Amino acid sequence: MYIYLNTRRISLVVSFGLLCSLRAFGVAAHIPCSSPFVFSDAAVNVVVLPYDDTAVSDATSHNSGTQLALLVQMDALSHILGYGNVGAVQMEASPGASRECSATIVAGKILGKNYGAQAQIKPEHGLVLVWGLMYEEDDDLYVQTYMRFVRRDITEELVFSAGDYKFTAKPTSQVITFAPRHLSKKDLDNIAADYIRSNIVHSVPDDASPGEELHGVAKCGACSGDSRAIGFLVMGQNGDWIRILRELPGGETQEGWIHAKSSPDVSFAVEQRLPELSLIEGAVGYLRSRFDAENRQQPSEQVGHLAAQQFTHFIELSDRENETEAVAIAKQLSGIVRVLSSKSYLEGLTEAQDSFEQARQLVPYSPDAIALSIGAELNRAALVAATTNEAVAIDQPRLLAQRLAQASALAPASKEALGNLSNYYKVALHAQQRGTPANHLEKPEIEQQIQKLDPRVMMLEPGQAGREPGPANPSTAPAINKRLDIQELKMKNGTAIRNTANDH
Amino acid sequence: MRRTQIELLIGFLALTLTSTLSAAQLIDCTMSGSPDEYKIYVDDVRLPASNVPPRLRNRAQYLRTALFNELSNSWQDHASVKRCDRRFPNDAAEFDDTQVGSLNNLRVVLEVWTAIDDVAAADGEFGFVLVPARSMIPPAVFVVKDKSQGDVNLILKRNKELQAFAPIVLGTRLYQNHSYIDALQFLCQGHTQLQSTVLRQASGANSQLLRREKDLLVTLDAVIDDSYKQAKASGGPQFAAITPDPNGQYTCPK
Repeated sequence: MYIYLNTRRISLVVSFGLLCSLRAFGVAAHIPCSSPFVFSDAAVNVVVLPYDDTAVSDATSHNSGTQLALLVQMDALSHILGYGNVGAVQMEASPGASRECSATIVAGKILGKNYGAQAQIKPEHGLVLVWGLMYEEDDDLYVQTYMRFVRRDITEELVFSAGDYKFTAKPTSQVITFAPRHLSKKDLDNIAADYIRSNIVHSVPDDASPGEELHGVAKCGACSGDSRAIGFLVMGQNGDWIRILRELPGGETQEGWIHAKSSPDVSFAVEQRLPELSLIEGAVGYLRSRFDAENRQQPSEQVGHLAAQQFTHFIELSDRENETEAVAIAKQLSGIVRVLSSKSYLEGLTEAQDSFEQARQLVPYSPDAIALSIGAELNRAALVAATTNEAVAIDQPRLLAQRLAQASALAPASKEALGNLSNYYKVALHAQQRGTPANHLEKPEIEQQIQKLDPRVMMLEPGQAGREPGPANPSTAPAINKRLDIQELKMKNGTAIRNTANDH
Repeated sequence: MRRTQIELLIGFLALTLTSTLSAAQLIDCTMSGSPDEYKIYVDDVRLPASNVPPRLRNRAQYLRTALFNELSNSWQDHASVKRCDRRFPNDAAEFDDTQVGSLNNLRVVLEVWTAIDDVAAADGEFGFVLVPARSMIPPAVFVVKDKSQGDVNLILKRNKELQAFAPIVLGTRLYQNHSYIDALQFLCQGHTQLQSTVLRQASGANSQLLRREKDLLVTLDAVIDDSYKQAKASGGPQFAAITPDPNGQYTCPK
């Protein structure tokens, strides 16, 4: 088991065989954007950049952008503990160098596209990057948050199965713009003060024991580097108490305990104001699940439940009219986590398909949303058929054909979309068709479509990038074109492939 | 006579200077970009000549930055979003055929600006030039008037047209280039989002703008229908399953 102690200048690797916690967790604050840092071995890192408040003149700026970024990181910290093996990093701009904190520049460094990072995200490990815009006017703060989730060098595609036929799908987008929010400066200061109070480092795991502030947010948003801890690492856990190793300037380290559960009132207050925090935290859970699944381990149900809760929380508090796509993506990620983590494959698929269909209705123009919904439905139908020894049953087959055809039309360069359509017809050829006769597909029509589609599918290259307009962004194309086959994962892990309706 | 001639000369010079200043505000964008890429211009904030309170100025800058970020985050893979400092129109009418033709040659598909017009009343506007749509719905310049007071986020939320205009112009440009199949994804997204914006607008609010946006939707319906027909005519088997609605028109997925 490796535990990393990080200073700005030296990385020291210490092997700690006795500390076998699989829930290693790293946190770093006040990292300069010019030389960004992440916990490379963590399955997922959340990196929070300072909110851009440069629209405000220096005279009125109170460093609220940095203060908010620290609070976002602290809130994320308190809610992603359950995932284990995750890191949370907060970055800051050096004086006069705010441009270094651009999301594109920082992402380029920590994802290994450009030089300059102290440490990089490892291939197939995840990153949730958070940044935003802020405007301060008297006591009012106007905030808009953006988020990107990604795993280095690997696609977010996954594969559903209907018998021998595969259907490829992925979330609609990996970049989210949230609706703008309004909070008061007083709210922010109160939340910050509450976090400081609830994040005290104690010498022993006892609230009554002496302690000192962990972050010093309110005091140290703009203070010198001398008094602030550079970072800390979770060494272990004892119930709600987390044992940490805190690194101080000058290379000193200090052990201590923090009470992991922040005051529910504090969490409630900040998440009411900024519901996007829940989606950010859920995205960590999603990437954590994908990381485990990619390593052929079924994500735990607890991880699935925690992530699902966070997505649900965001959806309930969201401004649906002004962040429709964010809500759709939350439903998609929630569905994916459910199907990956559920002990019952069929139950997970059924719940996921419901989420995917709701997402499709929110963003009907998204070929990915169509593919997720139909892929999951066909997989579900095939599972039911396998357990009942009947033919796959498809409801409204002509409508599904239309939708998958639309998905292919809306993603013209996508071999996967065309392949989905072709495979659909192959499933439909032997399926039990349900619904009105007008909605059925005739066998000759199906055969004709298969004959025409197959050569076209062979002509296209897999994972072909979008064409005109504008040059495709090469930095977004994954190097590893490895897709997660859900059925293979479930079979390898012996997950129940049964119809729970038949369970007694 | 001599005095009259001098007055006339002064008047002529003043007029020339004013015209020069007005035209000069549509200067070349400071971020030019490469000739091949499609571009979206985000102009500078237009302010009255003097006495603009810092608060109003800051608000306008925040709105400009929010517009820039939204466009950049959503569309950077398809178009390069450029911050054009010190460039802005003094009047929407400046986007005449010559100006729009010039933008088209530069592969600019969308130009947006924010402005404060009246400091006392805090009257402001957002402007959008949908360059490729000019031949379809001339002049294809949309100006949304709004107050720059109150909750600044509500200003952003009230003016969601931006979300729809970007995919609309990208799709329209491709359609005009006869890339019908490539155009569909953008046209469908833009249509869905504009329809949602139109439905959400309170009746009576910005009625002229609402009417023009509805006209744009009607035009888009025809473009989308034609794109699907052209796509089907290309013989691609994926289009065989797509059928028209009961009115015989091809539409985007719902």
